[in-house]
Amino acid sequence: MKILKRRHPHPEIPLVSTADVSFLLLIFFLSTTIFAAQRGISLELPGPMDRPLLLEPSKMIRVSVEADQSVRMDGEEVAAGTLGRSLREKLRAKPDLVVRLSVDPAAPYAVLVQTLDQVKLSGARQVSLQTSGER
Amino acid sequence: MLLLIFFLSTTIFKPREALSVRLPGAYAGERFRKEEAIRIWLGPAGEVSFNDASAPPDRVGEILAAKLVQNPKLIIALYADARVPYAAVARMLDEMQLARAPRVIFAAEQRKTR
Repeated sequence: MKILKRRHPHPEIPLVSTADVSFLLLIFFLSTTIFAAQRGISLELPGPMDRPLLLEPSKMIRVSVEADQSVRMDGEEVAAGTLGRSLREKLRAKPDLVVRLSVDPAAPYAVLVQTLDQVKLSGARQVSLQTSGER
Repeated sequence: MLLLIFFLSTTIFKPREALSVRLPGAYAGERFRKEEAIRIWLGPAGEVSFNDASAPPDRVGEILAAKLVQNPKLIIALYADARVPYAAVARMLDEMQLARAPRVIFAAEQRKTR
């Protein structure tokens, strides 16, 4: 009598679909990932006990943002886009000038950031921002 | 496969922010990592949120002072809505100054072309 030897099937895990899923996941992460870094305009704050900065008018440039969103430099209205250029010209002659920025309480925050942006781009070394009180 | 493992282990999905703000745009500015800063959100109606949890505006200084005692060099990032009147921002700056915060960053959307 011939005894048939039972052949055990070789166990296998189907991995074909795993490769497909991994590839799809990789594409998803590659296309959606953004690395978490934010940009912003940095400003050093004075301490509560620091005395207010008293400057001679000849050593500062006064930039003001009005309630109607207009920007003035030393009393003269300037277009928002040209402020940086005008400041750069003044700073080229006197690099140690302090830019004193005062903002009307009713002016929107966006105009402050836009103005501060222009001031930073002009290369001003010292910027003073009025926080409260008299302008 | 290595890339997949990298993304699977490092991805953190952005949580829903407590306050929805429209940030102003700026060309200048420096990079900072959100994790290294205390984030203060200032909504269009003057509402304040502290690291994604709402807080009364008059308690901002107190909360900040407590955090700055632990780490005096902590950066404060202000996420104020572009439409907020400057008066609300100035109030916030006064609170930061009283809490002895050394530095504030006005968070802005990066503009690339001029």
